[in-house]
Amino acid sequence: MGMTIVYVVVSLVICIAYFTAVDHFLMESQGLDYWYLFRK
Amino acid sequence: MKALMSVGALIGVVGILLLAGMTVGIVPSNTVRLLEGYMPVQVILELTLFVAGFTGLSYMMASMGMAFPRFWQGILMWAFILLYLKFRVYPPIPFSVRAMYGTVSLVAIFMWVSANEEDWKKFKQPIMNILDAQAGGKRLLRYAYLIILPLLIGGFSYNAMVPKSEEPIELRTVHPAPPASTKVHGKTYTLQTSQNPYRINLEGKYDQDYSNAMTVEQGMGRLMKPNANPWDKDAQGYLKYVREGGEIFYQNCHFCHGDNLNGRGLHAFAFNPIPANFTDPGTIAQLQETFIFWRVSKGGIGLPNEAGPWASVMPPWEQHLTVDEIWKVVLFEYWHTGYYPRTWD
Amino acid sequence: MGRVAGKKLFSIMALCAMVGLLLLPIAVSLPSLAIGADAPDAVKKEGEATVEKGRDVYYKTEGIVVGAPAPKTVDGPKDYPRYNFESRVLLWFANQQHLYYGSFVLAVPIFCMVIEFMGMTTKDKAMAKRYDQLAHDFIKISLTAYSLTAILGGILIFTFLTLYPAFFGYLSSIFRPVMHIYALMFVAESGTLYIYYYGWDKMTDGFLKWIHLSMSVVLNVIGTLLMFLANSWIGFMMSPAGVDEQGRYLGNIWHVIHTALWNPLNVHRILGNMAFGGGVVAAYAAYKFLASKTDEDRAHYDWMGYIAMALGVAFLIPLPFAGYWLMREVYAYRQQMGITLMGGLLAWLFIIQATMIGILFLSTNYYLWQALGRMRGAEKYQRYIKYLVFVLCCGFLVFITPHTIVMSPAELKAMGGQQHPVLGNYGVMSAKNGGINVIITTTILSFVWYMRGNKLSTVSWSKFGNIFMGVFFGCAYVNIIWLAIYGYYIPANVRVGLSVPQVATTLSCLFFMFPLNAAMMKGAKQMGAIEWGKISVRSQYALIMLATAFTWMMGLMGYIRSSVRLFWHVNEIMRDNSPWAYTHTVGFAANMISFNVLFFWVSILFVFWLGSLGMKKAPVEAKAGVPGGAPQPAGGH
Repeated sequence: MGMTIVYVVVSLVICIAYFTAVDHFLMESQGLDYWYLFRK
Repeated sequence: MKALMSVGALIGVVGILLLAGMTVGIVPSNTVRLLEGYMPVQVILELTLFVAGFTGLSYMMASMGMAFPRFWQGILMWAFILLYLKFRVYPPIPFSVRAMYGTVSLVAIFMWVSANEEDWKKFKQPIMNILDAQAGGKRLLRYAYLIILPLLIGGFSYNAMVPKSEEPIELRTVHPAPPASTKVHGKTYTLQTSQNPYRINLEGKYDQDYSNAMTVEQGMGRLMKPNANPWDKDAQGYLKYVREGGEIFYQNCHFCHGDNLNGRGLHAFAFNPIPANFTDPGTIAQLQETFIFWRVSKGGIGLPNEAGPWASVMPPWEQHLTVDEIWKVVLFEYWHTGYYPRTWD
Repeated sequence: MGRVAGKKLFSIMALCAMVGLLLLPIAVSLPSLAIGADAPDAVKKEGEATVEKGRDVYYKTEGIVVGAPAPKTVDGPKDYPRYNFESRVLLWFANQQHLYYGSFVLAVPIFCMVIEFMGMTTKDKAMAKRYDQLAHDFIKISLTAYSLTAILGGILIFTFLTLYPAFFGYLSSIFRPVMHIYALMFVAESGTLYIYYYGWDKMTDGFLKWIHLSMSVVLNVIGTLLMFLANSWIGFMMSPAGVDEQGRYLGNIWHVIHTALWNPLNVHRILGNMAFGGGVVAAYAAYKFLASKTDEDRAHYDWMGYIAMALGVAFLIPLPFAGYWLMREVYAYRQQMGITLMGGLLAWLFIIQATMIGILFLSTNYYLWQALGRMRGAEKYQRYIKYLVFVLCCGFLVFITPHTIVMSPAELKAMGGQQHPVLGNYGVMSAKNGGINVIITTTILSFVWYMRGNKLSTVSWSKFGNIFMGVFFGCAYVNIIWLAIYGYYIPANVRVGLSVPQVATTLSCLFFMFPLNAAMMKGAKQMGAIEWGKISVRSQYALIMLATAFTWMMGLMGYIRSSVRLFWHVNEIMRDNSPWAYTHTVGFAANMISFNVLFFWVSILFVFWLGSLGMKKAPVEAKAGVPGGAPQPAGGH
């Protein structure tokens, strides 16, 4: 059980980091700002 | 697990009761409000909640030893979706869309009940029982179906064929393809390359980024940006032209297109269809500025043939306004709605 | 070892020689084209005054006028001779049938090539035999279809010549050399095909087998070039180049071929043909499965249907991207054309197209779920199918919601305007992108489930792997849906960019989860066998549905592409002055497409039946590999 939680947390961190990076860099490569709504 | 399923079951029961109430009209449909702006997500979330609830309900019933037959599960699920779409969502969804949704959900339910061999057998069983008709009651039922089904189908056909006095459905092309160029007040404008002469920065150059930064906030309530008030008497350049465009708009256009530019002006409901709603993301936000320029100049009468049925009473404004005035009105419309004109790069 | 390598080298050289020889007609004809272009120079020397220069409508280069201007037709028996019937519909029918058979005949040899290659490189002898047999079966089907293609091509040309003489005369005056090369290459194609087919049993071992495979490569090269040439005609009709404003040919044949839309059309059509071919072969397998009487036959055709479906879907996935490219080029070429397609007159047809795409993915998923049923040990996944159905259904519903709704005036009034607060938001691009990406991601998930259905991972990190996979898919769904919702809160010019990370999310699932799954399943414990032939009958109907949807969609998209020219034979060069220069109603077009689809399927059933007449000797070898189910087809992923 303990390991499961560790695994889930590690996976979550990797996946969220990955998808955020995808969103950010692919928007940037088009010259757009992914964080538009939050920066204001 | 069990606790989770009980919560699910509770949701299912409450949901069914609410929907039943709405269907027969005891509970008004706005008991649980659909929030403007969040409705699309809300509808999907509600449906998800219902499905989770039904799963819990079916699990609880099975564990209490009174499993609900798969056959009726499928049929009731479909009935639920149809009723939900008809009575829950307001304003009412047109029949054509409900028919599409109904068909898709029917297919989905078929995919669910036939996902594996065992379930499919369970689902087919009641139908097979009737067709086999071993016992007397079943046999009677079978004869009843033999008579009722053709009658029902005949009734549908009759209903489809009988002449109706309703206006026919029309497929209207809202944004027809514009011509390559248009001639207004003796000057020819190429739609692909022309620019709004008033969309300029402080140096007097065409600059969309500059003007975009000055439009109202799109997000909540369309607020003016600080330091970008066209009605400031010191406003120069772009903002000044926006103000002039606004004056022209409220002298000429707002009677139909509305003072909030949402197509609901004083005279709007005298027309069918009602005038264009500029705040809708499907109108000016999708189009080039020159497209608007062309439509305003030529009006309904200048629409190309493909836009038929000819359903626009907009006057050809070139007969009333100068070219400059038209450009300024276009400028104002984008400013006020907070949309940016479409560009092709 | 050295000998094998030497033979391979030799076969490659032989292949190159064959390709070279087959392309010789083009090489030979090139100088003659140059001479053709030079010819006016002779005239030029005689009298400078008679030389007239024209400006290319697309490339904007100056050229010497060689051809006659596009004829200005008038409605009447001279330019538009007719029966008591709409000529355009006759032409439509002939064209569509020719295209169906043509693309089938072009796609099947590509499959043959792939499958024969897989057979030759597979270590497992029984498996290799099965692949080879399958490729042979495929080409047998295409042989009858090939002659039908030629017949239909003849019918198409006669229809053109008799009903649209003025237009066809103009087109052939410009494409004269191309049409001749086309005909010559058709001869080469037939020759190669017949040698390939009839030489199959003679060329079974080692070196000869490599030669045989090389022939399939040659066959496909010729077939693809044939299609490219034919595409240049429709490319010219949509986006003419190489002629001046009056339609006078300027002597540069490459400009006429290489028009703005030629290459996007080429790519789109190759991929489309492959997906279509996969669908038709899968339907053939399904038909044989349903008709077969023995378990061996059922096992064989079950397997065949699976391979064909996987190949078809593998080409279906990049198809939308090719479509986007074509659309972008259309917009770049003429903005009006783009608007007519996507937002104007033809927009309704795109809603039908969205529905068809949804049906394609729904049938694929359904087939995969049913296929879990032939695996022992896959029951653990079947319980969760209902949730996938729900997700898929929600994605589909959003995806097909029209932006402009068909409604009666009474409904319009009840709704209080064109826009509905729920449906209006589903109808825009942001939501639709979310919908289709959810659908594709779910399809990928179904594939992953299918591939691990009867296996239990034995690698040491399997627990982490499973959890990671689950979390990855979960996050992918969240990201897709989040981006779809986020799009409503930011301005349009930022919003359009969101589709890129959305698609990237879907593709991440494809490119990371498939290899991860494969790595986890390496040396996995088999819970039970795949029992080929034990699949439900419903799955086979799903395959037939898949093929029908492909066919219907192809007819629809072809109609859209053709009718976007509106009242032009050749866009902005030659006007259509026949009485049928209007755009059909959506209902009429849909009926016509359905008729074409029906006709195609009835006629191809006849072709299948003809094929089965010659196949009375049961494929004995094929049976050898079936029991035990150990061989696992690599599939198309």
